[in-house]
Amino acid sequence: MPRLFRLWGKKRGHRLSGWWIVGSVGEAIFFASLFLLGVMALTLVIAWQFVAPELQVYRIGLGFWLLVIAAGSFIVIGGTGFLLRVWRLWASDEHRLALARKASNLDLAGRGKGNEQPRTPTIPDLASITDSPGVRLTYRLPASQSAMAVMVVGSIFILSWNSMVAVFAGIAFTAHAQGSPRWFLTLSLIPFATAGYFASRWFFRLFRQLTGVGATTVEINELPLYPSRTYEVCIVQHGHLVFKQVRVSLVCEEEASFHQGTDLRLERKIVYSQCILEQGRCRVEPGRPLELRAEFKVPGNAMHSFQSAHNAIHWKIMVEGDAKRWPSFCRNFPVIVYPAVRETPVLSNRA
Amino acid sequence: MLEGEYTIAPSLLTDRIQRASNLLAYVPRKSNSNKNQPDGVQGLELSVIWYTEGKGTEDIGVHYFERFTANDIYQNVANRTCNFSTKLPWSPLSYEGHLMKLRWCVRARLFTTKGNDVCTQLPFYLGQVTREV
Repeated sequence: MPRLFRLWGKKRGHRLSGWWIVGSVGEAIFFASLFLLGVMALTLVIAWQFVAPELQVYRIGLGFWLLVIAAGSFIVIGGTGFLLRVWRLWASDEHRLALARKASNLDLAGRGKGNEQPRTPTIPDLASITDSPGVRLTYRLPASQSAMAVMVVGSIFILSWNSMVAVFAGIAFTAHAQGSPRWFLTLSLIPFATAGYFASRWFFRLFRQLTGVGATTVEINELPLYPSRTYEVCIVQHGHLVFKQVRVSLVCEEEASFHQGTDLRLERKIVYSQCILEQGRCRVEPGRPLELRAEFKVPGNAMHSFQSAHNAIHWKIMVEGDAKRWPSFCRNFPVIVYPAVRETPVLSNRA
Repeated sequence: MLEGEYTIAPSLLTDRIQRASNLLAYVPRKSNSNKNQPDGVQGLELSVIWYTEGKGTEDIGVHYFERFTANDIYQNVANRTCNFSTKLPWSPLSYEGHLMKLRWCVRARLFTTKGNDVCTQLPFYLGQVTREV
């Protein structure tokens, strides 16, 4: 006999056993209680100032303002949470998304006039890669900033970590010098210092790779890219070094982000790679950069660039280099692929 | 594949909606008034959506949305007709990738006065991209 009331359920594939509404109602009640608690606390704290100021229960000072902030945050969190839960109960996923889309389509600023590209909300914005004109070809592509971001974050971590190790090392050294050695602190420093050494080595290797090899610029004759069309690309490598090999590829990469427990994970997979050009041994000198030109064709059945909240398909031009006495490097230059142009499809259902 | 004007077999879609409404047979009907009216049905939502499947968290986008009242359902579904027309966008196209899949479908969601809903969907393919390139 099925139970009339289930407090919690289990996820079975796409189906959820139990009553999903119980969870939503429970959340709504929780947030409503939080909101009421906040309102009551704030009313009490403020009203006391007017009703019985001589008692000075909540004197205006640090404590008073802390209470006001705490009660205010309860009101904001509780109110927002309650409205969102009620909104979820009231409307289906599709209805909520349709209303959100309608709201985002409101042209309040009066934009959207003139000869514009058809609105393609799931394709990344072209403006971010077409704002830089090229010297040899029409557009100069911006480099992907992920390596630079890693270096900045890495430098902050290395500095903090090594500073911490240096402070503790100073304390341990002083203790040894004063004749009262702290052996536990001294021994604890060994793994910390080892981690700091390897982190610093990794950082300087990355720094050398990013700054020592010299700038790479990639220019392209047309954007966006369309399937089955041919494009010209020009790669210029600056610096002072000897390359054993340079390889340029057109790459399509899928990206998916998902929650695993409490962690947010990101997974990437290259699903297509086309070699545009390969250059053997060559020398790059200051004032005489390496200049390579090539043509490539976007495959006819290429999926267009796609970006949603948790999934993405990125297209990019990847420049890989293997230089003598320098670490090998890989630099990415994003491009945007549009769907093939055809007659506007119409979905109709007529009985 | 969708190119030019595309027609979803209407009988298939209306059959599915009819099947969904048949699931609501347990909903008590009013004793008087019109007996054919599917009492207990609050509304029907018809939407054309895309959604992702795969390793990443699911994303959904609504391209077309329409909500019918109980009277609309009586007039449309009872006569086995459900007319709607929409111009499909250029993107996103249907896609069978490695980490993610992108699918399109027509989704019908029927709401009862008891607060339950019955959902059915008819998938279709937009574009010519089949698998990862």
